[in-house]
Amino acid sequence: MLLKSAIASGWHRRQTLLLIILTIALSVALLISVEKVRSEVREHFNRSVSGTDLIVGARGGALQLMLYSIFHIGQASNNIRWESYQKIASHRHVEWALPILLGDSHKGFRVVGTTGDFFQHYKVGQQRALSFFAGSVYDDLFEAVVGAEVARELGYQIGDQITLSHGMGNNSFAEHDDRPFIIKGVLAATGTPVDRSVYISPEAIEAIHIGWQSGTRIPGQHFSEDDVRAKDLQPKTLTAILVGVKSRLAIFHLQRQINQYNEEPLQAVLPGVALQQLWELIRIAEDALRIVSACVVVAGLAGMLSVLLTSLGIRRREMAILRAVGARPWHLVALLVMESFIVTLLGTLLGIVVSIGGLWFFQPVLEANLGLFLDPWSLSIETLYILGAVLLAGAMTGLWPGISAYRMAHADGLSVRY
Amino acid sequence: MDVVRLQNIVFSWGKDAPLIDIPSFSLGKGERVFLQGASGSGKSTLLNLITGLLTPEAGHMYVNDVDVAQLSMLRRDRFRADNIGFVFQSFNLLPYLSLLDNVVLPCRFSTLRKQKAIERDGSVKQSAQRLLSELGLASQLKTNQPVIQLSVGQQQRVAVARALIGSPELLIADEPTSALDADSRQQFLDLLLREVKTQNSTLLLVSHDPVLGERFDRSVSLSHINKVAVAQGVNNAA
Repeated sequence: MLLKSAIASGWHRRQTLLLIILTIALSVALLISVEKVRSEVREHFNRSVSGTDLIVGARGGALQLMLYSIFHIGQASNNIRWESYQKIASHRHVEWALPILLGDSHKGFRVVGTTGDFFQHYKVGQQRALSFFAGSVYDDLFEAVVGAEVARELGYQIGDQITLSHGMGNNSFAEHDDRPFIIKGVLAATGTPVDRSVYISPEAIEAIHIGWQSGTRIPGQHFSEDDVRAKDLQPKTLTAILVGVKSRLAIFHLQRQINQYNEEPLQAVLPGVALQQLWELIRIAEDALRIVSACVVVAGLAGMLSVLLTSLGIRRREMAILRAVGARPWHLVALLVMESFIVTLLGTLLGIVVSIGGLWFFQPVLEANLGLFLDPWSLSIETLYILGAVLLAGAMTGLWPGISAYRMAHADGLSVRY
Repeated sequence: MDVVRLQNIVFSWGKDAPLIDIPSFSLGKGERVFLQGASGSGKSTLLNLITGLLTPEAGHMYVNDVDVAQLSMLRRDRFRADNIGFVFQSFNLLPYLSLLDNVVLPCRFSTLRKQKAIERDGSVKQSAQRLLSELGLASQLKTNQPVIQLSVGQQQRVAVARALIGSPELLIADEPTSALDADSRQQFLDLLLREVKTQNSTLLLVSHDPVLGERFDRSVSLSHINKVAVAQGVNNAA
C-alpha cells in the first residue's frame, strides 16, 4: 500500500524526479566506467607478462625494464651484449630465451627484433600462445610479421611492402627506405602491446643498420642486398631478454646468478614484482579516480536530497492528508525513504544501461588508442558492492526529508492551511 | 453513552496564558453538534486536543471512554486512525490517487475500520462505492474521473465518504464549507447530515459561521464552554 502510494506520488512529480534519476544515472555510469578502466588496466598489464618468468636487461629500475621491454613505454637505458644472451639461453635451467631488439619503428608502431621462437613461447592472457590471423612466421631476412592492430589501422595484407624508420616517430627523416620488408604474417588480436608491434628477425635489425653509425647513414657508403646478405648478421647487442625456466623452483637461483654476472652489469626481474611496483605507482591515480567518481555520486545524491526537501514544502498538504486518514509518522518517513530508494534504484539501473551503451559506443576508440578492451556487459563483484553501497546511501538520503516530514506533520497537526 | 467527554481540559502554548480551559463538554452517540467560534478562539487547538495530536496540561479527554491524554504517542496515532474521520476545509484529496483509492485510504491504515467496512458491505471497495453513490457521486465513480477534475463541492463529498468509511465513532469536520458557494454549501450540508444519520455516526462540525448551526441537533459556541476570554489576539500557532 505504502509502496503503491510512493510510486503514485512519485509518478505525479515525474518531471523533477526524472531529472534527478538522470543525474544519478550519469554518476553511476561514470563510477562503473572508472571501475572498469581500473580493472582493465591491471588486466591489460597482467595479460602481457603471463608466460614470462624473468626479464633480463641492463641494470636500472626493475619497473623501467619491464615497461620498455614488454610494454614499449619509455627507452632502454643501455643495451646488453649478445654473448650474455647466448650464455643465458644455454643455461641449464632455461627452457627458452627470447632476444628483444628495440629502437626502430614503422609509422608510429614499434619494431621488435626477435627470433621465430617468440611466436611459440610468448604467452598472453591465460597462458595462451600467439596465433596467426593470416600467413606465418618470417623465414627470410626481409620478411616481417605485424600485430592485429597494425594490420587493421594501416590496412596491411600478406605480401604488402613496408619500410622501417630509425627511432620512434611518424615523420622520422631517417628512413631505412633502401631495405623494404614484405609482410609474411598477421597476428590475431590479443589485447596486448603485441597488437601494435611489427616483428622482424634480430639479423634483419642488424642488416638495416649496415652503413649506419650513431643514428645516421654514413655518407657515400652503399651496400647492395647481396652485399648485406653475405655479411655476418649476428647482432652485437640487444635490448632485453625474456626468459622461461624449466622449473619454477629455479627462478630465484637463476635470477641471483644473472644479477651477479660479472662480465657486464645485468639485472633479472620477476614480472610480478615489477607489476607490484607499478600498482604502487598508479594507486594514487586510481584512488584519485575513485574519489572523483565517488564525489560525483555524492553530488547526485545531494541533488536528490535537495529535490526531496524542496518537494516537502509542496507536499505539506499530502502529508497532512495522510496523517488525517490514519498514517503514523513512521509511515511518512517510510514513504520518503522508499521514494529516494526507488529514485536511486532507477538511476542506478539506468546508469548501468548508460555505461553499457557508452562502452559499446566508445569501445573501438579505446581499443585503437589505448589498447584497452572493456567488456560492456561484465560487472565485477567489486562494482556490484559499490552499487549496493550507492543504493544504501540513496535510501539513507531519504531519512533526512523523512524526519523533516515527521516533524512537520507533528507541528501541523490536522490543521494545515495555505 | 458519550462519544466525547472533556473534563477540566486546560491547554496553553508554552508559557503563554491558557488558550483553552473547558470544565465540561460532551458529545452523545449519534449526536450532530455544531461548534461555533471566531478565528483565533482556539477551535483548531480544541480539535487537535480531541484527536490527540496535542496533549492537554490538565484534565481528561475521553473519546469512546478511552482517556486519549493518557495514551502514548504511538497508541494515540492508532486510536485516531481507528476512531476518528476527518474532513479539512479544502484540498482533502491526494491528486495522484483515483476517486476510489482516496476513499478507501483509511482502511489501509486501520484494520479495525477495514473489518467494519467488510462486515457492513462485504468488501472495502463495495463500502466505498455505497458511500460515494449515497453522496451523489455515482456517475463520477463510473467514469473514474481524476479527483482534480472534480468541483470543490464534489471533492468535499469525497472527503466525507472517506471520513465515514469503516464507521469511525467520531467524524470531525473543520470548516468544511468555507470553500463552497451558498448553493453547494446547502447541498453539502444536506448530504453530510443525512449520511451521518444513516451511519449513526457522531459529528462535530466546527465553523466561524453561526448560520450553519440551525440544522444541527445542538449548536454550541466555543466562548460558552471555554472559560478563557475570547479574542485576546490571533493565535498563529493554531
